[in-house]
Amino acid sequence: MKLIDKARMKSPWVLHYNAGSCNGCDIEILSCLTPMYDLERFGIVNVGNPKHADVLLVTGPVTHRGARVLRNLYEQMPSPKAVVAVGTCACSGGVFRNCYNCLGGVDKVIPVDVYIPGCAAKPEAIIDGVLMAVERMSEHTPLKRGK
Amino acid sequence: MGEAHTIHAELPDIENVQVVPKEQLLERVAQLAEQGHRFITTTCIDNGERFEVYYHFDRQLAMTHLQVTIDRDAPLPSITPIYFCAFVAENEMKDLFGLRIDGLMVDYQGRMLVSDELPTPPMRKSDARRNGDGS
Amino acid sequence: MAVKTVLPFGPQHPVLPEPIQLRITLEDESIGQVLPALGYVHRGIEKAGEKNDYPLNVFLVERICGICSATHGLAYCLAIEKLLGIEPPPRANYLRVVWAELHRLHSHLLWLGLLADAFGFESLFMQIWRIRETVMDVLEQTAGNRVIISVCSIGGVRRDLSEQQIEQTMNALADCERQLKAILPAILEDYTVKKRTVGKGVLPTEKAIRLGVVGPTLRASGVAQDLRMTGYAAYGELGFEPVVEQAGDCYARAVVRARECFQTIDLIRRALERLPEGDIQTKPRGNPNGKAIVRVEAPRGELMYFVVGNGTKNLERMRVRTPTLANAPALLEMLPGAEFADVPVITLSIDPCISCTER
Repeated sequence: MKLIDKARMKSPWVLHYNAGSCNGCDIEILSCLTPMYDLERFGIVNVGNPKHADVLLVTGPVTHRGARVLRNLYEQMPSPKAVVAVGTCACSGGVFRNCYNCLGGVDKVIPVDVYIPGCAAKPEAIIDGVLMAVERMSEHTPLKRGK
Repeated sequence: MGEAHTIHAELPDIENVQVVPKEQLLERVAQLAEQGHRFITTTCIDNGERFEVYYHFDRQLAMTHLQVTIDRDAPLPSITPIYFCAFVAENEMKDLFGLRIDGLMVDYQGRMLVSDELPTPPMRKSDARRNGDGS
Repeated sequence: MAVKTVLPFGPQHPVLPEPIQLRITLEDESIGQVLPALGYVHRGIEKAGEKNDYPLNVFLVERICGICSATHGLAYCLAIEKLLGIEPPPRANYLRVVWAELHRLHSHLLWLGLLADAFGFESLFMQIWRIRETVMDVLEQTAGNRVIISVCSIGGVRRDLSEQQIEQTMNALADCERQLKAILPAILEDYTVKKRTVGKGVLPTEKAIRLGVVGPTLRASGVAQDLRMTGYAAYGELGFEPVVEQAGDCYARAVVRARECFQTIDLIRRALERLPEGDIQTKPRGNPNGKAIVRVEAPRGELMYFVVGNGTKNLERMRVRTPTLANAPALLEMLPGAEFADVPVITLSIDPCISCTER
């Protein structure tokens, strides 16, 4: 069991879902994967299949129709899993808080572990947030990261 | 756009608007299509009593607008048999305003953008506003 | 015997950064009918635009779409300026062009990268996005944010450029141009790239006009139409010739966007060289009243704002017609008959932006 925990921490796989975002945070998540920021140096791989994923990155204020897909994706992910809300909209609804088709935040639908504010959230913040989520996910075997 | 803006005593307005009765809409749109106009979009404005529906067209960067004013419950013929691409804009009006459109070639039944959680068309002004109480 | 299968493509799919569902009817491997299912990103921005005060809407419309946020802000500001009867100062007009074009450059590079990703050319995707980061750095340096730069305000721009910033921008552009010149032949002359794009998703001129497509998709079908020809902001003084290709396939669309990258770099250079001195802001006065339509060229094509004011600080109606709304119906014409493996490339070739489409 210990080996699997260790492996999970060294290489968390992320799944990305856009639940009504303006694209800003989504392209920043993609930027994280490219040579400048290079999330893959932490072993983080972007996958398309929820059953392969450990961390769910969600952007956007969550629309009614998006909420159903989001819940579905979350339920398909195997435990232990972590959810990261990327961007101000995903944290609280942001400018779309009072729009009729928005629920106003990812935590209205599924539990969130890490909130990353910013419009759009900066790649540095996203990288930090994903690592924080991994740490939370495996709290019983704390990951040593700097100080 | 390019033309210099002059400050009018009257309100700024859009140019080249042709008011068309509902019955002649399809005929007029077909004429524009024949002349090689590109369909841009439709706009529905709820003035509290009736719907003002604008059809915007472009030809070599000059715009033409058709305006139809109809009752809020009256049906409007679809222009999708002439301009297929209008189905997105017409479905959107149907979703957001509850405008009735007959003969849509692709019909989402008022559920293209909004889902079942929102039973009433969200952009339609409430009846309270119509009676002058503010929305 | 051909078996008909209905296959849902999306809403969560690795090649789609955004949720849209295409319900594809397949006959073995070839596509019969396609129907898009929308509504996953619909937030109700047109309604929110009626509830907010009109100066606040600038921030709202910038968040219709993160990738072309500068153009959305610009179009909305132009429309309100038309209603208020004010003119921004010349320096503001030039700065608006600079930021709008920087956004176009990063958007086109983003798209070229995604296209490479769609046909499985991973290293090209990484290379193009690395070049794109030089543009993102310029945006951060000049506007303080990477994606949503929020520089336009009603009556002008919010930020000025110092001599040092102009010099840094010029250097970054030269760097970007040099790297693009090195890498673009690798895209456009490559055998595998041509194999995947030439003759795919063909849209002849006549059909393109009838289907109402806009922007690079229209220009790749041989129609020389670009809203920048109307000369809004400072485009009239900078001189502008649209980029046109004749073939109308996915390859032509890639070529149009690749050539536009260089054109955009030239436009930014010219705007920075001729940048007039003076104020950057005219104070808005009064409340908007009347009707105004503004059309500008967003990276994906024609963007239209129809704004109706009623003399109060709230707008009566704000209608936004975004480029993807016009380009999406063309997919229903381009996809049938194609092979299923080509769906990602053809879908991407119109540069779909779903958050724009649904608002």
